[in-house]
Amino acid sequence: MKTYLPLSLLCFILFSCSTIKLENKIVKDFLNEKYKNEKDVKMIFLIDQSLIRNRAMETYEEVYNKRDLNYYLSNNLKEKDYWPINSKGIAILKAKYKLDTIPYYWKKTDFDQLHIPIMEYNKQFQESEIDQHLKHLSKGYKISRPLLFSNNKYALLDFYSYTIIFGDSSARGVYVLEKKDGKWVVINEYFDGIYN
Amino acid sequence: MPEVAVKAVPESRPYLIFDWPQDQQKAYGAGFEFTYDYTSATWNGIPLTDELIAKAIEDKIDDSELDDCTKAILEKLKNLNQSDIASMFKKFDSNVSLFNIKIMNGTVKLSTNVAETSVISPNNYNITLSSDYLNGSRSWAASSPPTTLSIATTITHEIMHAYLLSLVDEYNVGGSSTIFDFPTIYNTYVANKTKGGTQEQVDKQHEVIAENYVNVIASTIEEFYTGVSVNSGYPRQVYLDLAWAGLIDTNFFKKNYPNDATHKNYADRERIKTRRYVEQYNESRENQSPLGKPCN
Repeated sequence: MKTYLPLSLLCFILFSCSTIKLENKIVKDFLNEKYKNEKDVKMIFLIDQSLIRNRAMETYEEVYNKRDLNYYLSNNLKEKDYWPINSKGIAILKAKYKLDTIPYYWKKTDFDQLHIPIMEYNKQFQESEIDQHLKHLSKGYKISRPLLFSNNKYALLDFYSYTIIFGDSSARGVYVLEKKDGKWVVINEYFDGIYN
Repeated sequence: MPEVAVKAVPESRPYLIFDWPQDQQKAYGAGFEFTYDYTSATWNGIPLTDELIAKAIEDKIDDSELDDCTKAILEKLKNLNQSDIASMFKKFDSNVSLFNIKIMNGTVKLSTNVAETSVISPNNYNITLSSDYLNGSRSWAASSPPTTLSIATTITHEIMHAYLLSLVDEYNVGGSSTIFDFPTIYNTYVANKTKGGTQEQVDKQHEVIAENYVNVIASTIEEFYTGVSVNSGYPRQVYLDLAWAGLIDTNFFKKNYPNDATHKNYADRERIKTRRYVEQYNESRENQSPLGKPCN
């Protein structure tokens, strides 16, 4: 018994570490791809305060429940393949992540080769920094930790970017990713109907 | 003791619940505006005109959850001589739809947004003005509330989203007599060019506003601030700047005002951004001072 407990603890720790590593890899792949596709913005930062993970699930569920409404204006939302998580899956994931209600704080050591610098959420700007952010209309990226499902084959995460000085959001969405050729790529995205 | 009858088999019985109309309550249908008269217990109908439709939209704006200052700004926007919100809608297209908007201040879904518009159900929209924005809370500097001109611009921008959403709803109902060219064109535009259910829907609306309605927003806020209608069709530069400033993430803006110091419009780009800054934070910058004043 004495050896059994530490062994199970060790297994748990190893499992947790590999999950965290996997989640960080997903976030890194996603952010680097977003960054690569930014054509007009020269200054982009990952905001250290994450979005809350279970909100990604809530948003997915909200959109899932509205999938037949016409104002989404697209037939692809009515296709079964567009929804990798059904009602039952939503319930399971909600239960799994229900306590995940506080933000995580990203740090440099979470990632290897992340192309985006990390900025403190409540950073107080000097006047010269305001100048720079205004001049370049710099952007902040806010992202949740991913939720893993289907034996870690897929991931769901919440993301948006915003102009740091004015706050206007863009590129808002909940995204489903799948690993292809060693890299996590977006296969579907969902919009919660918020216009700003 | 009275006898008690117990039914072993459950039954379902249909029933209707009537909400009796109140005096002067209005209803719309079949191209008429109906008003209920309590004393005669009758509905009196008159044919709908553009003016009646516009008035109906104003009446349907629920501002009960706005703070007093923002409510006053909205009231002023609604009562401008020529470019009030209702006639602004008419400028888009003479065949406006009837819809409900609730405008409130509170917590926005994305904490950095100054305001958000969302569809509650077809023809029903919520506009939330961020309390953080109205109070001047910002994470990166001292508190600094926006000017009323900034708030008026924000409300006008959001009303426009709600209006465009109403056109889509109107189109989706199908068979409505109010569907004419613009909604059809708009819907086709969105459906064809947008991957539905993505942020692109917001981006496309912003493109529509940038390409078509910058002058309308500018004229509205100029009259809001000066009290003088813009009859020439050419609002002053400072109001155009503010109208553009809500659309700086659009491709239309980026194409016309690229982030390229050698471009002929670069100085305009800088001026537009600065104007938004000085009104949003009521703080002078780069030789520009706020035109408006904050609420308190």
